[in-house]
Amino acid sequence: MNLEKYPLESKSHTTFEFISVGPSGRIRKIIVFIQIEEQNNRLYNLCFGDWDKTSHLPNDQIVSNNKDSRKVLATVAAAVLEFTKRFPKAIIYAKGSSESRTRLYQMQIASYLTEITNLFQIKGLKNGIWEPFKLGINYEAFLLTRQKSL
Amino acid sequence: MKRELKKKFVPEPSSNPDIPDYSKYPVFVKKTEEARATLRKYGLPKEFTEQRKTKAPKSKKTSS
Repeated sequence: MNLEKYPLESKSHTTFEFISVGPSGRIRKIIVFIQIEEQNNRLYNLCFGDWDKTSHLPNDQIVSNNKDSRKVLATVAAAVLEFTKRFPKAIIYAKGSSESRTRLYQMQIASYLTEITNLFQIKGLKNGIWEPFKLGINYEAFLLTRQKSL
Repeated sequence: MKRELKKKFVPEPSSNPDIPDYSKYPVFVKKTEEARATLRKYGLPKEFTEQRKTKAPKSKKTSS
């Protein structure tokens, strides 16, 4: 996938940052993979948000309007690739901070489904059931892990 | 009488002072709690829980 993306700065094995640049200015973005269960070191939650300059805290509700959502999502995807290179057995849970953001994730996955499924097994949560990701279905959350053969 | 002050969230310092431990920030803690609740409720797909097949070690031939 030769998508335009921002250079990622790896802050630790589980934390990445990058700067989004657009009409709203330079916005620091944070991507963190947080272990979900202490007893299961394969399960990680993908957390993503802006650095809020006012509160000095990450915020996943800010609408930055920087007109670069595809580039931002491609950068998040690059972070997932980096993370799973280091932790190939990781299972990553992803859900947007709102329904519309989850939909954005879904649209991005749908646009590159062939490329993604070459690398990852991907499931969508629909009515309480994890099912293989299919086009045209609105999922509530996603799970992905590297293909076993890789 | 001592007045109780509302505790302001201060993340624990990470081992490297240049890198905040984002996993301790409330917004990400809350999101991870939600993820945990969802996964406890619905479980994981069975393909994700199966152990990856690893090559079995070659058994040594023993001469009798």
